[in-house]
Amino acid sequence: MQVQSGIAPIGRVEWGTHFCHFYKSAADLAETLVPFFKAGLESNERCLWVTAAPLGKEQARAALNGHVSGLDRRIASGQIAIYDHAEWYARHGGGDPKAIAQLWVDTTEEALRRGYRGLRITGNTAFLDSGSWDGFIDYESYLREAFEGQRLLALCSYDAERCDADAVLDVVHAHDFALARRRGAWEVVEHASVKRSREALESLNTELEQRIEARTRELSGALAHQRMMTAELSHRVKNTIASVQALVDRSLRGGGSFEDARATIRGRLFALARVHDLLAAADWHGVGLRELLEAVLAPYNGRIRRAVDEVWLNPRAALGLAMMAHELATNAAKYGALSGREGGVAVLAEAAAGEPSTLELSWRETGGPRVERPGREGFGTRLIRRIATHDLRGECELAFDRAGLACTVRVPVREILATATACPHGSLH
Amino acid sequence: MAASIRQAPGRALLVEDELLVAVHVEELLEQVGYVRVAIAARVEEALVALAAGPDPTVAVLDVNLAGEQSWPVARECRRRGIPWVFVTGYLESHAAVPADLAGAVLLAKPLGREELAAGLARAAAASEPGGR
Repeated sequence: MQVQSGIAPIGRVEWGTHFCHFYKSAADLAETLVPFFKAGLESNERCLWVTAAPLGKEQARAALNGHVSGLDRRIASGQIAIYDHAEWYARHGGGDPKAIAQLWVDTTEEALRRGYRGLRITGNTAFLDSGSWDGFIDYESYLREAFEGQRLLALCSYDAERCDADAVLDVVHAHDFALARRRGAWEVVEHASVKRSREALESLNTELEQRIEARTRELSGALAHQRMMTAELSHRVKNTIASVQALVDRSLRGGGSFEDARATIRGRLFALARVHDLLAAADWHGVGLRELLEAVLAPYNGRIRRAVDEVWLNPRAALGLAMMAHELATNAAKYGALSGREGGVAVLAEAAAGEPSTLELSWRETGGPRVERPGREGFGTRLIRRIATHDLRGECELAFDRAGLACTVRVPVREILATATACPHGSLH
Repeated sequence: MAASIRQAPGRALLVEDELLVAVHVEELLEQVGYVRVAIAARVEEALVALAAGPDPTVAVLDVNLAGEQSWPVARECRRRGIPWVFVTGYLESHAAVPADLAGAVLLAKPLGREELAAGLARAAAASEPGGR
């Protein structure tokens, strides 16, 4: 969770950040610390300012007064406390690093209990001398861990004039990052490991965002597919109802008995239903020719021998070929080889290479009664011819041989093949 | 009515995307006297068939063809002076005919032979000069 530091080159930082700045003058200090506290006070945070020369308690208060409204009231209510270093040290100092760190954590929790959003502190380290330096840097390093995850923001001030190169490195190492004013411009110095983890975090964030984006794309793609499938399904339902209407209508006007019509309707609906079952089981991507013929010709099992090359059919071809096989089989059962006890049928399906490659399907009846060409083309025959020539763009020969009916259908494989990415749309038309 | 149609046999263009329905209507068309029936399943296919000629005597247009409507085919029929009828399924009876095609003969599925013959006769009468 982030908090506004109030310092322009830094902007928002994580709660628990422990950072420092190098100053050369009282003006530098005021320029950094005034906006820091202004941001805290205006977002209802508790603030603690431990001052030292050259910006002592009174100067700090004066500097802040011009920028924050109701400062006296805020001091009276305890939202902000400004201490002189000696004053603060007398009250809280002298403990070991752990005890002082715990004091900050306790103060933060108290601030939260009192309704503040968090605690913002700053301390000037001008009081340090060479004898206390190492111990203090250890304490600073310890704070970095202690503050992690706390609703606390800590900014430490170091006098640039009093830090040699070693000291600067110590300070930078002990904080999350350091802020320095060089030639009139702000510069942020990050400890390499911090920088690395920040970079790692950023790249993790980027990766996460990319993943979210990819997942969102996936989901909206799936949603679009779903919508397309729904539209397709509604189209299919309408077409299926129209087909059933036509079948029923045609079967009833066929001129035969009511019993005949009933058997015809049942047979045709059964064949349609079987194809729908198979297609639905494969999400309307397609169905194998062998499985299709087995399903449609199941009622005549044993009397129809099959030698079938496997072809993965698109839904349109599956429906067409199923209706075709059904019409041939019922015709055979009524008038042809399957009407008596002796006859049989041989079904061959052979995919032949070539340009374009074709699938040749042949239906040969033998052993049935002597066949004669009917006077007028029936609905079944007409359906077979239209499916082959119109729907599947192939050709169809119906030979009423004396030995039995022979039907040969040749269709281009590209018309009947389901593709891997088969969009079910455009298939049943 | 059917008798008068039989006296003028001819070619029919049938635009229908559902094969079972197409075969059924093709049979009906033959029964009312259209000896040659061309079937198109899509708008594009129908327009190609019309452009290739010769002009059919009548056209039977299913309104909804796999997501597209057969209005462009109807306009082409009108331009060529070919009488046509629209056919809609009961699920699509709300199909809104565009203003420029209003007044066209609209038949409901399932089609019967008599309705089809009567509808075609009305369309033929309307396409005479002074008609539609």
